[in-house]
Amino acid sequence: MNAIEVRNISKSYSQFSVDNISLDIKKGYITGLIGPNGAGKSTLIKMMLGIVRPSAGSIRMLGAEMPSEEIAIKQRVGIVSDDCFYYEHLSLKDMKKVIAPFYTKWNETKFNRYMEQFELSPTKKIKELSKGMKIKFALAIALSHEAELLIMDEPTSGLDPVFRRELLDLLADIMQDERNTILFSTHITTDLDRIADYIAFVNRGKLVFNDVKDDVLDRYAIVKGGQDLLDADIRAKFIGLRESSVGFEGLVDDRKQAQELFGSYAVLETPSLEDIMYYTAKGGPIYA
Amino acid sequence: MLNLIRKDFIVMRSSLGLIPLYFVIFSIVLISNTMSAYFLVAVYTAFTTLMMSTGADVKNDNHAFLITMPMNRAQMVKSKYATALLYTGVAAIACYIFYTIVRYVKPSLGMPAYSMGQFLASIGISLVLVSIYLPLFYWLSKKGMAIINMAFMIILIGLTPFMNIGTYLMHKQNVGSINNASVALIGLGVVLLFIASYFFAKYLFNRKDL
Repeated sequence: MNAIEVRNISKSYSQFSVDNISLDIKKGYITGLIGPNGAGKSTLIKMMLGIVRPSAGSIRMLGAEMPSEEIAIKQRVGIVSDDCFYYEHLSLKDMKKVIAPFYTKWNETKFNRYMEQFELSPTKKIKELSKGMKIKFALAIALSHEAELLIMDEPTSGLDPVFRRELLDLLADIMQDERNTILFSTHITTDLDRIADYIAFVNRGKLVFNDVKDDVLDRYAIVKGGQDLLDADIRAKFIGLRESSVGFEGLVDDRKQAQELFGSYAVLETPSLEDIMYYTAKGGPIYA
Repeated sequence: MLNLIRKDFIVMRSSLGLIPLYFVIFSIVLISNTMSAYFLVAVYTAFTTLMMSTGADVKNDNHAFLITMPMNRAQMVKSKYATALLYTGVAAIACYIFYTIVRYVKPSLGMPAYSMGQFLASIGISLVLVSIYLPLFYWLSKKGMAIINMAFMIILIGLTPFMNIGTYLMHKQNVGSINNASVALIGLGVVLLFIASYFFAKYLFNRKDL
């Protein structure tokens, strides 16, 4: 079952467009939405939440249609974003007073517990918070209304390594309840190496893949070898290729074919998500 | 919608103290200069409060935050129209009470009684201004706020001499009082304008990227 179903969604701006993306986010799993800055991740998330209106396509969340059933949907969705649009002059206590009445399942005890755990002072004003603290506050809010679907847009970008680890552990805890789903958009792919089940990769406004993380890492391979192995046909097999005077390193999306092609003449390694993102975003040959 | 109205008061809490201050300043200025247009104090106060409320909502792109909560854009627009109505009503009543108190406390000023016509005019003018202002606000949001607010401040300042000239001409030409049918017709027109404005603002806001 899918928590989110995006169908043929498009949005055009003067210098950038999201182009006909269809994407399913599986219920009960953590899906990492990766892509370089400006690839379309945030636009995609904003369209899911109704902040940006798509020019074409449809979105279903938790079995209901957006935007016609958005009020019921958003009761069950928590949002954590590095874009902080809270009222800057309000204290955390007042901001909570604004937010809490909108949620039928608001849990005050849980909220106070998270505020304590994240060391957030209720009397502090939003404008006095660091980026990391704002994300902690957004997380406390999102977790206090029993959200089944947590949508996180670059949540770790302003966090120190200690809280980043804590956050990932917290997300793992949330996933103990199999009804919960997390969509985690980031360009810091190391976070997803640890926790993601699925990876959706968006590049230049298009969906490159949306697959089980382990399958992606099995399918792709980093090939390293000498320059003598490369000719025009071989170069065309690479998604991205980095050449130097001493050899090459490139990404292929068919490990089996690469094994047959290079045999023992080249070294095949499992790529990281960052490798996949880097070579796909760069494309073509790069000369170092 | 009630939660959104409540939100407006929480967000404006720090500046709520300014509103009675504005009210008193507007009152002193208009009572000492032009008693016939005193009812404009209600228009100024209601409209200044509305501008403070809309300003708070776009200061940090807060519409983008509000829409992530369980509500839709129609509710956001509707609540703003409801608060505008509330500001208009409260300001009109406050204006009447303040004027009456001053009239009894300071009979030497020779203030005429505050008429029902003035009371209704304050509500009518406020609603007409709101009906023009809010669609512009939802259409232009943060980008156009400074220009819209400036334009409306000029309109508000221009209202006082305009009202004075109007009242003077009416007296000079001996037009007399407007009959009940005309008042009802004007009232109906204002209400229809207000309703049409709400639907238009909703339409504009629905199409917008936040």
